[in-house]
Amino acid sequence: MQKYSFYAAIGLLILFVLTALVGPYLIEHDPLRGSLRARLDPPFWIEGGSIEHILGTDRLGRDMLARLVQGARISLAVCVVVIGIAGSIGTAIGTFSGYVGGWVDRLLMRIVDLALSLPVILLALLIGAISGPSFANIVIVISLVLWSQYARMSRGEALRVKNEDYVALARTSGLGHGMIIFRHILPNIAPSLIVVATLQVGVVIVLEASLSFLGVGVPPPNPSWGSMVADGRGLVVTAWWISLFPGIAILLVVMAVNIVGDALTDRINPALRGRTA
Amino acid sequence: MLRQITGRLIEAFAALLLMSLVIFLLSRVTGDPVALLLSDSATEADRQMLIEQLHLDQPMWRQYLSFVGNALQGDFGQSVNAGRQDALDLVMSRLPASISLAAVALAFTLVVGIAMGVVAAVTRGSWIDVLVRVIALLGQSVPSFWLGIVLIYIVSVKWGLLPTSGYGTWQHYILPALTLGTFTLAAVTRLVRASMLDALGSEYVKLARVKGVSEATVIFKHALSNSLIPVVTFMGAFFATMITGAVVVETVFAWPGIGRLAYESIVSRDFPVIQTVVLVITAMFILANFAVDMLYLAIDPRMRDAG
Amino acid sequence: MIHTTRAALLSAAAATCLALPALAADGELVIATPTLSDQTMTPWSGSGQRKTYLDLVYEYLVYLDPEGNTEPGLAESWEMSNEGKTWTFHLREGVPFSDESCGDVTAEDVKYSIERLVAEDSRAGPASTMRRIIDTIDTPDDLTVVVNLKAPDFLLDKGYFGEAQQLGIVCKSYIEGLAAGADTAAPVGTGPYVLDHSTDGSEVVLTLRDIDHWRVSPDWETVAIRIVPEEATRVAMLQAGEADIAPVSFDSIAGLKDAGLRIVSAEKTWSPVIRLGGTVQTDEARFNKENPWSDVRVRQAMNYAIDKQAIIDELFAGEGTVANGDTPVAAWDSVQPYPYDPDKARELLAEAGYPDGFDMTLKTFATTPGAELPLMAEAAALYWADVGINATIEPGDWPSIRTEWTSGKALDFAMTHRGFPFPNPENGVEAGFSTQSLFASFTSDDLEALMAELAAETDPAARTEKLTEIGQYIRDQAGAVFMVLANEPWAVGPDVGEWVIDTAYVYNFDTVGKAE
Repeated sequence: MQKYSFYAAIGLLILFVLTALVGPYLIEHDPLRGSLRARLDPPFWIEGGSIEHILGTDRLGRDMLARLVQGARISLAVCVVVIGIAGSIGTAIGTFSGYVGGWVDRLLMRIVDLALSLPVILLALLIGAISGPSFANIVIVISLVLWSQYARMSRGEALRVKNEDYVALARTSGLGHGMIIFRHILPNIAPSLIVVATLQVGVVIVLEASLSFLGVGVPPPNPSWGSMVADGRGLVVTAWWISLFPGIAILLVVMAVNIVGDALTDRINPALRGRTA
Repeated sequence: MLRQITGRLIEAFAALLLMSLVIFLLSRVTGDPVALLLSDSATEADRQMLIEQLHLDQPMWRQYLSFVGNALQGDFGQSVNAGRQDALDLVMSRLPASISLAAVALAFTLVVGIAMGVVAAVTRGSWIDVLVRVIALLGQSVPSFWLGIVLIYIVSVKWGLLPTSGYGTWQHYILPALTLGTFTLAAVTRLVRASMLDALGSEYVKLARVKGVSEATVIFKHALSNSLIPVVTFMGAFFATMITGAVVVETVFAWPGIGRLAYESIVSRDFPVIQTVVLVITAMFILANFAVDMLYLAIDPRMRDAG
Repeated sequence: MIHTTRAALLSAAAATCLALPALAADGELVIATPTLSDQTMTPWSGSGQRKTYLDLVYEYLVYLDPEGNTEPGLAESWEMSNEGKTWTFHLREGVPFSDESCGDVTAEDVKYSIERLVAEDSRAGPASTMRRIIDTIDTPDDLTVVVNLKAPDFLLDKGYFGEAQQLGIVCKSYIEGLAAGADTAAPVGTGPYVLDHSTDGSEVVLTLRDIDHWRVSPDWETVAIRIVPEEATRVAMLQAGEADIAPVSFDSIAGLKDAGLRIVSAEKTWSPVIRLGGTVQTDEARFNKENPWSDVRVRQAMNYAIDKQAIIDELFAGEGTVANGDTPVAAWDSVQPYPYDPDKARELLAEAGYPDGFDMTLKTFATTPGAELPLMAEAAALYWADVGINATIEPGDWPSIRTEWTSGKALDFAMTHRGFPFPNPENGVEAGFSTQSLFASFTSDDLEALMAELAAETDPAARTEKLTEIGQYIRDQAGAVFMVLANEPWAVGPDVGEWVIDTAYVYNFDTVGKAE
């Protein structure tokens, strides 16, 4: 059972990434262009729909399938960039903090605590108000929230690893601090970080959706799955397809990454299980 | 112990001060409220007049210093909106609605999450386990505004069971709390399930079983009580998630809390209110973390030495 | 005995659980609105968005009928003299304030209300323009008010002193007694309702006064105006019977009609328009010659390129007409809108030296009415793309866009705007196209001359003609990308009978009928 769901999840994720990478080239409709006269057309199996727009059209007559595929690309891009930035900054700070220890560690950990208490959405609204919603702003805001988790995680691991015998040995043999961190500490931390990163994919996608709802998400006309759900929220009864399809897409991806994340946790570091909420 | 408490207090205060600077600077660069308060055909002279009235003509550092100075005396300024209400009063008047909602949502999450976690752990690997985890994940992957709107349509419009929105009776709490709590449900379930599994596999549980203690006692008395510790650790984080998630949920459910207030004050560039809201929220987080820390100090003597 | 009590309690509890909750009570009219703005209680302490509730409490000197003609209000009659520079209002006798200590409305109250509205600390929308024209106010007797102006205003009755603006008449002694707290204290006016309570960020509830009101006889004992920011929630409230009246977006209309609700449309109360920044040709500092649209041919091309009728049919549910100006003005009826002609647009662009089009920024925001603005911006950009104009859409919020717009700089972007719903069209023209106005985005020497001629003209027929000439000029010069003269849809529930919205910001919530 577990095994099947793991493979199914992996398959789904590969499909997600493939869609994001090559999907837009396979669909003939332009996700950004549409015909007003063909707006709010339902999916083909509903009366009034046509095979022309398999999943229907949105509020500006753009093809839903084309936007869904393009949305996969944008949502994936947000995830990758955010997790890349938050992950590297958080890991760097956390590792450094744990390795150095002392008052530096204490200070940095207090900052991590403070970052955890940042009212994220308010910050996003403020930043959105300053420079308008943009891809860069979204990435900055979400990264601001997520880096602290990596910092905590990597600090704990660094604390644990730095007292291991082989690290002490490396130090006495005259290896520089930078080399010790790179050679011995980071490789030890990596598996746990990968797990955290996997689990955060869902958090990023859902957070971006909330930002879209408040008007500071990925700016139009570019679709992200979150902004598509936000776009269709007023039409959940009359034009449900606008929010439902991207909603299902989010659901599947979040589930898949969680299943994979859990499985990886069990394999890599069982002690971590459940500690990465 | 006393030294640690005062240390934490000083840190908390420093954190608040830092936050006040961040939020002060951020809100200043978002533009000023002057243009909003002017009419469409206002002239430059009208503009200058209003700027002086609002003391926006003073240098930034002086504005900040006078803000901090006044704040220390409990004066957070007045809303720049026409009512000129006291900013702190305004925030405090909205606070109960937000806190009570977050509390109900947190209670819901904990009760349901712990139950689901226990069930999943006890039935590990079975279809029940899978089902529970899927349900929890569902909650985590649905954007809350969408869940809220769908709940309103089904429960309130279709079935007519609960009010769509607003604030007042206990019925008004159900849908917003459900919406707000659903997101953290998955996290609680995961935590409880994982630590339950750890506990069930531990030596003392094995020992208890060998001794012939009934399965129910093993689960509830020995395993569960131990597996709740990580949940306590994360309580602060959960509460934080809920207060920030409140901006969205309060919008959907027309809930008159500080989330809405913060949103409105950002949109209308109401500096004093923005600053006060963010500082009050931060203070609440810091207070909550402080309380959790103290709780640990009290229950776990080893922490005292580890500091 | 105990058992029966318990059973009764249980069934009572069960009944509370299952009963339809929060249904609007008999005699209570529930209005769900996205905002109550500042939720302050004096006419001068905020914007006109508060008229939803203030209009039930305060009354105006002059009212308007659905055709926009004047009707007597607290002033029974009035006349203009001295070539538009003196206005005399004769007050209605025996109109009592809601607070007994105030007695009836007197000339002193009116004088005070005017002075307070134009005072330096006033936050009322039109305060600054009113301050520029109002000179002195005399009260020869208790029921006569003479207003002396610095410059002629031939439509003071319909405009600044009319019900569509903010000059609600307050009780002088009451306000003076409250001093600083007046803005948030319970308001005292002559209107049919008094404030029951106002919960910040939540609702304003008003109850009917126990008098024979001189102007209206409302059907509803209580009017509750609730803040419901999310449109989907407002629609749900209407369907669940929790709200009787709410503004809705055009896309919600079909679903609401299916659910058996009625739509009341306020006709042409707003006019979505795309304003092209930095074309203030009369002010060096605000004129950006780098903008492609500093060339009139480009501005015309941008108008020709958009199929506005399609936008109206699809995004505005057919509720509107193609705009011939930036705001609906009766005197502009003869002005023809730009037709949809993409070939002509390409031709003009080529002539102007942009055969391949150009890149630009279009900022947009949502407001009420105006939830459709961001969607309209995207639709306009789609049409522009066909002729090579590549518009990047920047959604923002009104405060930041407006701050930038009125910064006095040479702007390099365009924005969507909802137009000026001024009952006196001259006020709208001044705000949009006069060098004096910080908001203006298009001005020219010719236009300034035309407006000066209008200001000097005293003959009503000649004034109308001049106004038409101005409209035609702004249209020919393409002073903006005119989009739609749009209606404002409100959904009403089954308990509501007859209800008419006269014009922008005149909601008439005190004349909402009850269904049979």
